[in-house]
Amino acid sequence: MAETTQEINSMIEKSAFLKHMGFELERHDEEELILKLMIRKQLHNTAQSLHGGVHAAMLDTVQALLIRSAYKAKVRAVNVNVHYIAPSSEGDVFARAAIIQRGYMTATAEAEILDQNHTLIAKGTGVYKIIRDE
Amino acid sequence: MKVKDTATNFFEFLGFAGEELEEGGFVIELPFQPYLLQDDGTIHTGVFSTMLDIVLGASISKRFNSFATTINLNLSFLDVEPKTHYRGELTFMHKDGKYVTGEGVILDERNNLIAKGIGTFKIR
Repeated sequence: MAETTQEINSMIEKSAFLKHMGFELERHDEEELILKLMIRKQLHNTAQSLHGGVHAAMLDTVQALLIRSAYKAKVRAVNVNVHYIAPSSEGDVFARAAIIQRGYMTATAEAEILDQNHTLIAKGTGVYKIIRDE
Repeated sequence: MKVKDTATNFFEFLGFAGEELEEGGFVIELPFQPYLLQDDGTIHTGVFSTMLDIVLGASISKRFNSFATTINLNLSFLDVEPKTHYRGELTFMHKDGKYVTGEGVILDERNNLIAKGIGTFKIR
């Protein structure tokens, strides 16, 4: 494993945006990385369900953390594509990612968000630039 | 649909402001906030995803007087270094039955392109 669970938790703790949103690391091992988010009223849209921006941010975050963990390097999102499958208005949602392309300069990941009843609510892909130290 | 009807809890939670244009459009504004940063000092790209989702969705809602449900968003990020102010606007819209596709941009205070996105929304 490239980075420890403790290192990823520290990364989340140091990121003001991730703390503001309320993302938590649920699980991290050799196979996968899972983020958890408790749906709060602040994250609602006018239809009182999870705002589309939250899905996009969560998929982006879980993809970036997994690639960052695998490469032990900082990463930058180049492109993110999100498909919205179903609304979710309360409880916890979980996002998990998998790397589907590993290059030297870029990596591609796919991710999905499930609610606590294992219903698929969003799916995405993202391309990330690997920022290597000089 | 009025701008105030499209302002959500999440809209306020991230510090956005909306402005209705005289010609009927909608512009979203975002002054820099420290909580938009990630640990490496750059802006989290989720902020730009959210901003484009809002500006496309709100513009479509307003135009067709309907709630707009996001079906798909495709986003490209060009610059994540912090700027003092961001503005998002819709640049193109196409309607096909209940499905509306919109394209939008985010610009910084000097009109540099920061992010670009295209999204498909379903109206009622």
